[in-house]
Amino acid sequence: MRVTLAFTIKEFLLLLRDPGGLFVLFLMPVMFMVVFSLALGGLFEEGAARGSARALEVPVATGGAGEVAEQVVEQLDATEGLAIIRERDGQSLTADAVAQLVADGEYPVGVVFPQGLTALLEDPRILRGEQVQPLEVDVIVDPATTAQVTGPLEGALSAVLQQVVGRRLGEAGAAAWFEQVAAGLPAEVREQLSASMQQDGQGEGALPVTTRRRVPPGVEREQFPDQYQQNAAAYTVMGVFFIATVMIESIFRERRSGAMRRLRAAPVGRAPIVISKLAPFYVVNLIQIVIMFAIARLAFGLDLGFIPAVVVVSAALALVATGMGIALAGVARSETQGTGLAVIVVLTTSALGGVMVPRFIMPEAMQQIGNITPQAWAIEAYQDVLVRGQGLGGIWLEAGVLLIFAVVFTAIGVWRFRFD
Amino acid sequence: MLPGMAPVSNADSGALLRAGGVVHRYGDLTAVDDVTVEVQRGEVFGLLGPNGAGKSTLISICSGMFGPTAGQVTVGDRQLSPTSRAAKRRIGVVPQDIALYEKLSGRQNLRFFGRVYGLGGRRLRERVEAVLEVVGLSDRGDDQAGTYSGGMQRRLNLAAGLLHEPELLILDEPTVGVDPQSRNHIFNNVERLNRDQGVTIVYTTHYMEEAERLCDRVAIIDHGKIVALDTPRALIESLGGGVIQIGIDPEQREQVMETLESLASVQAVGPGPDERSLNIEATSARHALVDVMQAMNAAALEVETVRILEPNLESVFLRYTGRSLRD
Repeated sequence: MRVTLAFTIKEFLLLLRDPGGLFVLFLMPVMFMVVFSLALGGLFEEGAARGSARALEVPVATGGAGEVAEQVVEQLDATEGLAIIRERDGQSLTADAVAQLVADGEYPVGVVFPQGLTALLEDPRILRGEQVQPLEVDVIVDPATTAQVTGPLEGALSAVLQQVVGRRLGEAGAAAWFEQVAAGLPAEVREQLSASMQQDGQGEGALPVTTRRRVPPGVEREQFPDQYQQNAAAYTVMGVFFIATVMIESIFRERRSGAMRRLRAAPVGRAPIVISKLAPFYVVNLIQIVIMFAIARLAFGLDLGFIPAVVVVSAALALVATGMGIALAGVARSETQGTGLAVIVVLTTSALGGVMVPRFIMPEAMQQIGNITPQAWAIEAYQDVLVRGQGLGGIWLEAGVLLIFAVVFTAIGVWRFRFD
Repeated sequence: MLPGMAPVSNADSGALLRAGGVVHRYGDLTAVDDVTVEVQRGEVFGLLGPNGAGKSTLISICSGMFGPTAGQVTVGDRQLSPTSRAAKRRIGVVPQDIALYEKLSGRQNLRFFGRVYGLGGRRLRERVEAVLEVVGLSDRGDDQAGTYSGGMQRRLNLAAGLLHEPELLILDEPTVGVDPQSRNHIFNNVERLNRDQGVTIVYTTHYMEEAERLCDRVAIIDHGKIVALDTPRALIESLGGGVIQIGIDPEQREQVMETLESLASVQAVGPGPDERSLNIEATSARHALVDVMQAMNAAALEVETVRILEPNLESVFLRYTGRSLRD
């Protein structure tokens, strides 16, 4: 313990006198977070519908909704950028199955048509223009998904519903219904609505079928990640991994100076020395994380969710990062090679892990590849807490995977650790 | 007595460091080849050897940095290995490198190494101040080590090895690249540590005058083996009046030896460091040189090179290794 304390004090003193190291560890990730948050703000704004490069796969349940739903789904499937999933393992998707798929993160958004949709539209009351309780088509949304993803679907769904249902109701019935529901409106407003209906075929808000956005069962908060939730998590994770470059410099500097040889002659075992090399950088990592989230909280109003869960994820994340540092230092043959390798590894795994670009807009293959990076698991864990409002029960899997990464990296580091 | 230094007990006399049949190999290369040597408690033991002779490997093994391929090292009654903490605590190591953190102050460096050696609290503070005083750096203790001169860094390097009051101090080339003032300071420290505190010292150096001044006994290591071991005086006296080293045609080797052994001024003719040279020992090398050259000319034997080795430790080294200590 005394040795670990000695190393910790020493490393802090050295780091305080290393402006380059301080920049890499503290200023750079903050800079990334602020700049990318401000620059890409529109990308994460709710309703900012922009198409993604590949088709958005949407699981759909139409059980009992009848031919109207089938027509809507058919037209949605024909819409560019959308791919409708009707079955899973040869079975038609149910409403529960769609909700579960979204809850599991397999798809960012799904659609569930209400039972009796077709029958409702054949209700004579509607054709007579009488008011009935409107039916709702549920758009099941992963709260961690941005409007960039859901916007096109919701827009297309509304348009197709308007088209199919409007046609179904018939111009006469719709006009009668319009007169009924708009009777109490001022003349000026009625004219505007009428003109709008003539232009668009049918006023969207006037349909007896509406869409309703819902989150899957078990996910409490319906909230999209804004740019700060995305970038605070992502750039905190990336910044933490840059500890590897500082660790490599520290270890090689100690080797070069001969201090490692002196330590080797000291009455301290190999494992305590390696662990003592990890400990101060682990603390530095935790400080980094606190600073990053403090800035995100104070400057951008980020809601940190369940703090103990954030602490658990951060503790596991810092273990992985320091483990990666010691492993890379063990693998590298020189300081230049080591720092270069660290930069490449950190940037590559960060990109694959969803730091620069959220993983859910990556192609499926890239998303799968991303799973081999600790960054992906760490970001997912943070977003479980920050965006989905989950507690310790929601992050145990990610935290467990991070610990496995940490054990593997540290084992490689201890195995390959050289004193000279 | 140096401030803050407790004398080492002389109750347990005899060898403090023992290396028995030590072998160390790097792949196919045998760096240390069956070395057996004892360092007596309270002596200053010099280890001399050219680069690549195995000196650094032997020093590393005797410091507990790594274990030998074969054989064993003991400190007192404890076997030394990389994991033997008790044995390691008895040793202070001053590496050849300036094994310090340049961005830390002298005191911060010493506090760090003190903690690594198990010191803490008031005891640590006292020891840091004591060793700073020993090496004459008390007034510069708060300056960053990187701002020190080479000599001051060497002195701080020495101080770090003294923090835990070791019985055995291993100094690996402690005066390389230092100014005369710092070198004298280090000499004085070594002498006082040994004389006043009874600290046993193993000292490696490239400088013969240091070995002659400081060491009670000197071992010369070459090709991984101890090739000579005695007091400096005895080693020098073994040269007699000096040695003439001549370079010859290897094909004339037998004839040359026969010719020279017949000379009255020559005491002995032996092999040189290689097959192209011979060592000629004489009561007076300078006087014998005339006889040697005349005899070689008379016998029409070729002399390629001539070198007179004055009776000093440098010549002893050259005689045994064929190389200058600074090669």
